[in-house]
Parts: sequence; structure tokens; C-alpha cells
Amino acid sequence: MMAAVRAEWGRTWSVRAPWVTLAAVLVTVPLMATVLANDVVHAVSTGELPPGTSTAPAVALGPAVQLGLVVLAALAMHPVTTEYATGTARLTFQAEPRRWLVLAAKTTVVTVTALLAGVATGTAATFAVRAFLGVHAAPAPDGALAEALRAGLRTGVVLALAAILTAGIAAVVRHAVGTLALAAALLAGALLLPDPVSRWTPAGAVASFVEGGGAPWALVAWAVVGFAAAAGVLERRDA
Amino acid sequence: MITFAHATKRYGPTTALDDLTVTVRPGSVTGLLGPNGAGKSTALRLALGLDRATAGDVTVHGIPYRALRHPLRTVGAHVDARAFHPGRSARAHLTALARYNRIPARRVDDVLGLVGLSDVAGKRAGGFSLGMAQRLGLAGALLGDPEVVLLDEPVNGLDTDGVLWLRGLLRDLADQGRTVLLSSHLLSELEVTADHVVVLGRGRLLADLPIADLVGRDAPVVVRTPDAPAPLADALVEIGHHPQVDGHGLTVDGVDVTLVGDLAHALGLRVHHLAPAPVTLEARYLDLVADDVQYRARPEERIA
Repeated sequence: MMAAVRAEWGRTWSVRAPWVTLAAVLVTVPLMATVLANDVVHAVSTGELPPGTSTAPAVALGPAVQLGLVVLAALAMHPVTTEYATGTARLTFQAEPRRWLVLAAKTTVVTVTALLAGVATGTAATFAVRAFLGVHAAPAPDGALAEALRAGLRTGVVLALAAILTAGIAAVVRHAVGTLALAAALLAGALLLPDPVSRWTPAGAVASFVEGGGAPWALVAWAVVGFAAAAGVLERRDA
Repeated sequence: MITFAHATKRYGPTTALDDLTVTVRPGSVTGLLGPNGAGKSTALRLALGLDRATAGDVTVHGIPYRALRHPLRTVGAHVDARAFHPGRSARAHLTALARYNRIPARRVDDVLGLVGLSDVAGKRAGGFSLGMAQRLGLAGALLGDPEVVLLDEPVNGLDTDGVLWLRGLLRDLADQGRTVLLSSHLLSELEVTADHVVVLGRGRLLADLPIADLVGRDAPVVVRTPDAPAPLADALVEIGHHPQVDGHGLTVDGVDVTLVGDLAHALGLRVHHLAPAPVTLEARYLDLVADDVQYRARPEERIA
């Protein structure tokens, strides 16, 4: 497994696209969150919201993470879909015929990356949102740093789980466009469904967890089932 | 050694490989020959564990490919032209494969040197010509210093130097006791490269024999003479042969070339050319596959 992860880590970062999408993830979340925070401040200034409005930074972070997940999906699918696009998948399966292990290695690379990127971008976004909200930010009982780190960890966890799910989808679908469409629908689009349904979707689980809810078990289940299904398909299908 | 035992592969209603039983032996270069759709690529894909056989078994040294540990150290293959990411360097491409099989990093530079790509090892492979792409594919095949080498149309796109180099390389590999299997539609190439040929047609085994048998034994002898060929033709008929006389001489089957030469000399015929017909491999091959060509251009559709 270590050999496979080493192979996939080096290979993933030896082309440009993952760097670009990683940068996009890091920029998108804080940018979107501060735009939303700015909306709150603006609404107060126009009288749309009462002057005493107090908003938790996590409220602005939630939708920003959701958007970030769509960008992250592009990063998470890349090591898989690019192999099919270039025909190197067959070469990789010659080197490692245990295909579940190849998928596990690729998934490890994007999951670790997503976790670190999520912690960084979630923490930064929370600081930025608090700064933008100013007096309209809800008080942080144990300090702004602890609040930001906690939000960063939650963001890291959802990005990591979303990366696992996306890598699985990519292995089944094989094409970039189809993978991105399906991942975006599951990770963000499903939020538009009525709540009793959407809470069981990845998007619903993300929204409630980032805004401070309990463990995102629905997303964990999606990620685990998605990976297992993809590994099964890879083993059976002709390469 | 690669062993196909009743290997059959169906893709939906299409039978790509039909009960193939053949053994590819070490120490020689074996050519896999057949028209488009004959099952050459399918056979290679089954051998590499990429596709699962519908029935039968394919093994390498008695082991199914997918059960090999660090398979690149046992089997090296180059089956897809341009199977690399255009934005990745040749070195990074090979390094990933090497790491999967715990092949030391210096081996990557060794094989890049071996195929003549050292100078462009760090360049994006997307800019490679077809010949360079083939060399990168061959470097991948040689990466694990494998006992078994499988190549699909490796000569395509190589320049003359490259073709000569590859011929020498394959010969060396076979002489070292390795198993070399290459598919080709270039009969002339196999004639100078391969020791043994396996001929497929519509997924079935048509022939499995030394190339010398395919080329030499029954080759018709062609005689070119400025004199009237009739006396020689008569002499050949007398000893039971059926020469075909044409404007420049004659062609005769099933007779030793030295005998024809001696006869001509005895009859006082001036002989300008006397040799087994050079197109024999092609002719024999076409005989073998005549009934098994899947995609035949119909004569009436031929562009004038």
C-alpha cells in the first residue's frame, strides 16, 4: 500500500491540473464566505436586517464550503479520470493488478490533500468572516482562534469525505464531465431537495456539520459505500 | 513462458478469441500475426490480466497475471501507443510505475538511456513524436528487467535506426532466454525479427510454427531467363513438377532451388535470377487467413 501511495502521490503532483484546482479550493472558500459576510453587513446598513444582528461565522462558512466542494471534486476526480482519458489506466493495472489498491492509493492522495486544504481554508475563511462581520459577529465563547480551528477541522473532515466519494464516482463513471456533474449534484445540488430527503444526501450532511451539527454519518456512509462499490466495479470490469 | 489454455473471450455477441491454446516459449521471438479483428490485442490483454477470459486460462510461468507480485518485474508490456499523460514528463511517468513495483529509481534513468530518451526525460511527453512515444512505451516495458516481454505493433512510428535498434534488442532479449511476443501486421518485419509465428484469424489459432516453415519449405522457385524457358519447363514436368511459364521465365512449386539451377545449367539456359519467391510469407499468410478475414474490402467498393 505504501508503494502505491508513493507512486500516486508523485504522479498526481507531476502535472499542473491538481495544483490549479487545489489553489482554486483554497481561494474559493474564504472568498465566498467573506462575500456572504459582506452581504450581512450590507443588509444591516440598508435596514434589511436589524442593527443588533449577530451572525455566527459558521453560517457564512456553510454555503462557501458547499461551493468549495464542487471545486474540490475536480481535484479529487483528476487522478482517476485522467488515467482513463490518457489510457494509462491499463498501464497502472499492469503494475498493480489489485485494482482496489490502486483506487485506495489515489483516494488516499486526494483525501489527505482535501483534509489539509479543508483545515487551512476553513480556518482562514472563519477568521476572514469574523473580521468582515465586525460587531455583527456572534461572540466566540472560547476565543476566535479556537472557533476558527474548530471550523477548519469540520471543513477538513467534509472535504476529505467528499474526496473519497468523488474518487469512487470517478472510478465508476471514468469520464471527467460525468463525474463532475454527479459529484456536484450530490455534494451541493441535493441541498435543494426537501429537508427530510436532503439530510440523507452528502450535501445535507455537509451543510449541517459545517454549521456545527453532529457527526456527518450520512456523508461517511456515502463515502464508504461509494468507495466499496467503485472497488468492486474495478475488480470485475475489463480495463 | 506464456500459456493460453482454451482461452476464450466474448464481448457481448462478439467472440474476440475462440478457444486459443498455444504456448509462447522462452528463448525465442514469437510473432503474433493476423488481420484486424483476429484477436491479437485481445490475446495480449488476457495475458496481462486487463480483461478476464470468458473461458479458459492464460498464465505467465504458470501463474495468472493478476496473481503476480510486482508483475512489471516478470512481464513488461507495451500495448497502447501514447499511453501517458501529455503534461507529465517521461521520467515522472516511469517513476510512478517503478514505485508501484518497488523498482529502484535509478532503473528509470537506465531505461530512458537504453531507449535513447535521456535528453528529453524531463520534458512534457505530450510533445513527443510517435517514434519517441514508442520508445517511452518500450522503456516502460523494460522497466522491471522482465523475463517476458509483450509488444503490440512496436515498430509503428519508429525510424530506420529505431527499427534496427529494436530488432537487435528483441534478439538480445530472446538470446538471454527471455520470452518475447510481439504482434505485428508487418509480415516483412516479423520475417526478420521473429523465430516463431502464431497466426490468428477471427479469434482462432490458424498456425503455430517456426517462421522458417512458413517462409522457406514450400516456397515456389522463380527462374528468370532471357532464353526460351520451354526446355527447362519440359525437364521439370518430366520429373513430376508443374511449372508455370511466363514471359520472363517460369515459377515452380515444391522443388529444391539447387535442382532447378542444375537443370538450367545442364540445358544451357542463361539464368539471370534464381530464387525462392520473396513474397512467400505474405502469400502463405494470405492462404491461411483467406477464409478468416473479418473486415474485407469488397472489390466493388474499392476506389479506382
